[in-house]
Amino acid sequence: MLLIHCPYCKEKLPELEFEYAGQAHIARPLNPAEQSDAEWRDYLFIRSNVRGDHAEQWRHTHGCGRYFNALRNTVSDKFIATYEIEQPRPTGSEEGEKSNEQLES
Amino acid sequence: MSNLRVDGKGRINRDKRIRFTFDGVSYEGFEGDTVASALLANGVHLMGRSFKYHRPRGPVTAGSEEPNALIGTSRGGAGRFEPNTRATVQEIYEGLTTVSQNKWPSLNFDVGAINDKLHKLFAAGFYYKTFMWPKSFWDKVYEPVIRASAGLGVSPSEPDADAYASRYLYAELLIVGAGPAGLAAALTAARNGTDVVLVDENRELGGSLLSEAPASIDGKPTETWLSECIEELSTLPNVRLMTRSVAIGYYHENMVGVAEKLTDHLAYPPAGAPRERMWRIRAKEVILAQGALERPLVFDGNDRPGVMMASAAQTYLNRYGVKVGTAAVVMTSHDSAWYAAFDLVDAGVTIAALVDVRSSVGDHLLSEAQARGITVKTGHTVLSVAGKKRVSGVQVGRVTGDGKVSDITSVSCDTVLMSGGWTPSLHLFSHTKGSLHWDEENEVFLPGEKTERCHIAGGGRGLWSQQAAFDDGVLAAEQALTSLGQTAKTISVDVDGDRAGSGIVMEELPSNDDKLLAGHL
Amino acid sequence: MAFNTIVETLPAMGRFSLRCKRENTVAMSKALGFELPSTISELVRSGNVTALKLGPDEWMLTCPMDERAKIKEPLAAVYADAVHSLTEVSSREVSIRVSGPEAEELLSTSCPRNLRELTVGCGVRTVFDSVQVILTREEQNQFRLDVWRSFVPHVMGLLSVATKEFECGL
Ligand SMILES: [Zn+2]
Repeated sequence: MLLIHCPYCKEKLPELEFEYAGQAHIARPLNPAEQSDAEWRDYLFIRSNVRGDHAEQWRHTHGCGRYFNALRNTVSDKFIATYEIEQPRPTGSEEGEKSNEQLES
Repeated sequence: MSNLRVDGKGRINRDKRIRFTFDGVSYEGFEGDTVASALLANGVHLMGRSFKYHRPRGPVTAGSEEPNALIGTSRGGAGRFEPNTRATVQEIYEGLTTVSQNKWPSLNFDVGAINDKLHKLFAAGFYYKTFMWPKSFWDKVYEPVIRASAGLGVSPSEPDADAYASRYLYAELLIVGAGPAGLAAALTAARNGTDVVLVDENRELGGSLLSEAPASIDGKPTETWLSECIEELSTLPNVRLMTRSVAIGYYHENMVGVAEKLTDHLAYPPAGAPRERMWRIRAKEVILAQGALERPLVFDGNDRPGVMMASAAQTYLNRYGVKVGTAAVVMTSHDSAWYAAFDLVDAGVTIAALVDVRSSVGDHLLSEAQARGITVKTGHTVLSVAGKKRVSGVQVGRVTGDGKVSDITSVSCDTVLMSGGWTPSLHLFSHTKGSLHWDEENEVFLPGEKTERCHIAGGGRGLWSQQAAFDDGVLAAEQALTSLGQTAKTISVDVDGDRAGSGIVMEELPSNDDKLLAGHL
Repeated sequence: MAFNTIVETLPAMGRFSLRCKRENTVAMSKALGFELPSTISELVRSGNVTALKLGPDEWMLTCPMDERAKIKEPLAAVYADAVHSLTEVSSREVSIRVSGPEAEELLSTSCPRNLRELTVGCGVRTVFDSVQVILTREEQNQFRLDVWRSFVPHVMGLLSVATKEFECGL
């Protein structure tokens, strides 16, 4: 069971209080009506499948209730950083960045 | 029934006799005995039959690594039967009922053992291809017979009647294993005020000190030192000691699952008591001090009742006060079995021959063996074992330059004690995805790169002597405490009469016969 | 040593979930007559009213049942200037008090948090055997669990099984 640092509670807490909530930093298009079908599909469904450092959203569901972002290495399953939802993606670990391979969807 | 107890030996309570049954026969043991040690004290080695070929089987170890002596236990009432319990782990208590497994119609006369004689015919898939004809035979003959004689034990037919509890626990330091390394680490950290949890699978703390006590520790008899050590640890408020507690899994962020047995050793458990408690222990630092497991040697018949690890015989003697036989042949490639032989001779067991596949061994071993009048055969090997339900002798031969064997003679014995050296217990470490690296010199896998905040101490790092284990435990605790940002005050534990040793690894012993290498399942 | 920890449910109390933006907390505090806590897990008491900060913009306010107006009315009065959401959840939850020397260990049977790090006078939302609860450490050996009503039989059942386990002394 992982321990996850909540950037709002500022504590490392048991995974049981958290929920995974998908890939991070996917901006909703400002004008959905102007999107082509392909663009809209990409926004809705196309996700990266990274072998290495992956930016993702988590929610501290059974704690402060907040969504936040995390950078987690998908090979070691270790959290490199967690950060508030508006903050930009931090640089990952050297090893994680090196092994960042995007698998074709 | 023979009595193979040795006066003055063992950590059993001789004031408390306990009766239990095995296959309907009543036996007596003492408080502190396991089913295996109590049966061995009564001269019983045959404790079950193997899964497929129904070969007779007896205990080969004295601990949780036991692969052979698997029994069924009934703890009274519906839903309290358990198959495949290790006889070497199950403690006896008044009224315990146990049964052997994989035998039909009885343990001594087993129909399935014919498979053993015919084992060359029994290739994989044999069952599915052979018993097809005539069709009418399937329902009435083949299936009932196969069902009666197959399977690893009997599945319980009732729902489990027991309750199981669980607990979360946080600690600064978790130590797994309470042998010399674990105890030294615990003492170092405990005296420093660190919040320590020490878990051990046995009913008593001490690990190898219980099986092979050095002459003295810190100038005191081992028993005195050990009880003072446990007394100190148990009175410190920052220490939690857990016995009968098996670390079963090592998960992310230093969470270790520990299954604590609460009632399996009690004749009258308190009403409503849970049978086991599952601990999820989250520690900032973990020390794995799980020691090492002795390796068996490969020779024809090494699974016969009466063949066991040399260290197991030593444990049965020193911990349970039981001689596993009266005349033993020792077959080894490591010094440790020599010490086991010395302990056995000193307790009145005849060592019919001490066979070492190595052509030369240390002079101190030879002179100690000579002083005890042991027949030593270096550069020799055991070729095969005679006897069916109990060893009656072995064939021993000289290893020649070309890896073959000559000058073959027979030696009578009722026990064969083998040792192929030691393998560090790194199972839990491997749960963490920690890498292992091959150590050429000692021919063992040792812990490599770590992924968690854990430290390995003692036998797990390939250190064989008890002095080295104590020293390594202190070192591991110092490292853990430094990592916790605490400054450790070092301690020292001084062992007198330490038995260091070395050996070689034999994947299979020299033999003139290649066809025997197929495994007997 | 005999087991001496008591598990009991508490009488109904007034409970309100307050959500508001950071810039409005000053007005909220002024209306309530005390400073709302500013860090998560902090609990503030003023007379019979308590306020526990659960999330960045979320507080749980409690009071005796007959004093609910003390919370509702002053906040309603400032609504026009300080927009917020105040929802009464008095009957949603039941409080369970666990008090006695073994209270912390009793809760560790089902709570995955390190309870030693929960200081006296603090409270957090967490889980108790996968039931979401608000856990407050009222005193060193006294905890309160606020549990949604429908989960109470489950939580009380677990605590009763755990109590039996402790009582048998193994
Ligand atoms: Zn949080």
